[in-house]
Amino acid sequence: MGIRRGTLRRQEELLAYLFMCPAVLVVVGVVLFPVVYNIWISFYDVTLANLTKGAPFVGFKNYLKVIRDQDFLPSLLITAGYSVAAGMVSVLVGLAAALLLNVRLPFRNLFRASFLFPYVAPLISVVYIWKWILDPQAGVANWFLMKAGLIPAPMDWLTDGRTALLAVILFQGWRYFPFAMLLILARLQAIPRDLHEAAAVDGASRFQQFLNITLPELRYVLGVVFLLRFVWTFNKFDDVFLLTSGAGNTKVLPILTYRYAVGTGQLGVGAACAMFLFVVLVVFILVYHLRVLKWEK
Amino acid sequence: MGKVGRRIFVAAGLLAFLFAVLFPLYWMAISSTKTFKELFATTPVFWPSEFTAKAYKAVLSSPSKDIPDLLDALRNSLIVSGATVFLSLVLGTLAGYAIARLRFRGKAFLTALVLIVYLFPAILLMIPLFAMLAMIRLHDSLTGLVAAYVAQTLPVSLLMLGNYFRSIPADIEEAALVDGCSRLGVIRRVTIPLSIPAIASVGLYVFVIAWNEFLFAYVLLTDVKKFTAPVWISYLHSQLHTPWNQVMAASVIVTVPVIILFVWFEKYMEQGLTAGGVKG
Repeated sequence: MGIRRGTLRRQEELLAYLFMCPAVLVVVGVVLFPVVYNIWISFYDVTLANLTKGAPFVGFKNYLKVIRDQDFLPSLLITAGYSVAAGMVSVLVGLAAALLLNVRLPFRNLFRASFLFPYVAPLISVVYIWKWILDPQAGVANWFLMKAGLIPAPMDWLTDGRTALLAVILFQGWRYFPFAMLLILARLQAIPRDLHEAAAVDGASRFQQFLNITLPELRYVLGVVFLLRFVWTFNKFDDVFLLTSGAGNTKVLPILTYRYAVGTGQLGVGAACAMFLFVVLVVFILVYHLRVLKWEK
Repeated sequence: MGKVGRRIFVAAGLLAFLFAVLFPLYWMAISSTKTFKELFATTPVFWPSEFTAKAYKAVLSSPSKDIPDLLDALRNSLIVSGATVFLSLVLGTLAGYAIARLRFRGKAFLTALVLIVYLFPAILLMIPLFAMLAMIRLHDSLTGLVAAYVAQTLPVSLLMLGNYFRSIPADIEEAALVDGCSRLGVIRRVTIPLSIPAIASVGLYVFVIAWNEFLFAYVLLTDVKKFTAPVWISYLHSQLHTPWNQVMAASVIVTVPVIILFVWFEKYMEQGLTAGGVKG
């Protein structure tokens, strides 16, 4: 019996490895190996021309090239700043939407479902809708703002250095607030009703209840949603690329990486730039995790 | 603020949100049906005096066989998304089942190995993936794209399916095992039929991710005939004088399937949104 159980156990284990194998192979082949390979590329002078012929080793030259590029430091600061701003806008707009939806109202589910549209529609469609709305010649936004007397003449929102970054941030607030909304709403609905009832009996106003009951209950979910949005915005390439392609002070690090690699064909320099991006991000996540999210432990 | 005042405030807030979300959608649809004159009118036309399907005809039928139209791109998108859903579900089911039900050494390690995909952003993988696929001459192929998408969606498939399998009472499976069913037989006849809701959620979610994806498709594909729909639209937009009615018509066409999936399967879709996050 003991021997039989042993072989059964071994059979189960064998089956488990067999089941895990395809998934692990795909992840190693298409994610983990490429990550290691990226480190390798960053130390070699890889270009589109010598890709298959063996590129020369250059040590830290690619990294120095990135640091010495006059675009790099501004780009790093812009990326960090706009990621914080876009993360905060998504969280705050998502919080507002969640609070509005937490009230008992007719058609509440219909409202909630419609609010998901910006987040689930294909990026390509929503980017071009906004580009068309903000178009400097025939855009409806300029017409409306001029009609309202807010601007004297049509503006080119997505290439003007004063407005392009703001436009990108607002676009991301618009596109990603539903993600924050869903998570915050789920947490809101888990707050026990009697907490509010007891506070109301004690004479607390709605606003006091929000400050002293709702907000503390939401603190953790707000912190997590902001972290996720920050990280995803920091890495974001396609939104910015499609909206502005880096014009008007929106040359964020992912755009810089793309320009080195695809624009000039210097894959090695691009790989080094991507390494900077990744390391900054990992350091930020560690610090944030230790400093901001520690309260829950 | 009284009760009535509060209600008005909430209603006004909701309507403002509704306008911000739906006006762009309306503007896309209406712009795609306008005549050129009304499209570029100095005073925007909010309701066209005549509707035309010209833009739709233009994007759906190419003048020559060598220039692919949106239909060709949609076919590519459908192939890539379909293959991604199939592979992600098969691999996710196998691995998810192993993690939920089987005992084996190194389980925590292997699970972490799959979930670690979350840590690495697409922009970091872009260059090495392009270089690797170029070496084996797969960079300009839909196959390479599917491989990238399967890897990106595996953690979500594995997590959601694994969690669901765990919620199925083990007794049901054990009864079938005692009756002489093999493990694979149990998975096929018991576990999968009981998990249809979870499989539908994951499948829809993965489909939408693959259908919407732009970065990998844009970087990896160079042959116009292989473009997926989003890359095809960006190509249309990049013309010297952007034909905005056509760009809007093409946008409507790629957006409609996603909206239909959402309206029909809202409950299933929302699970995917909160469980996985689109990682983007």
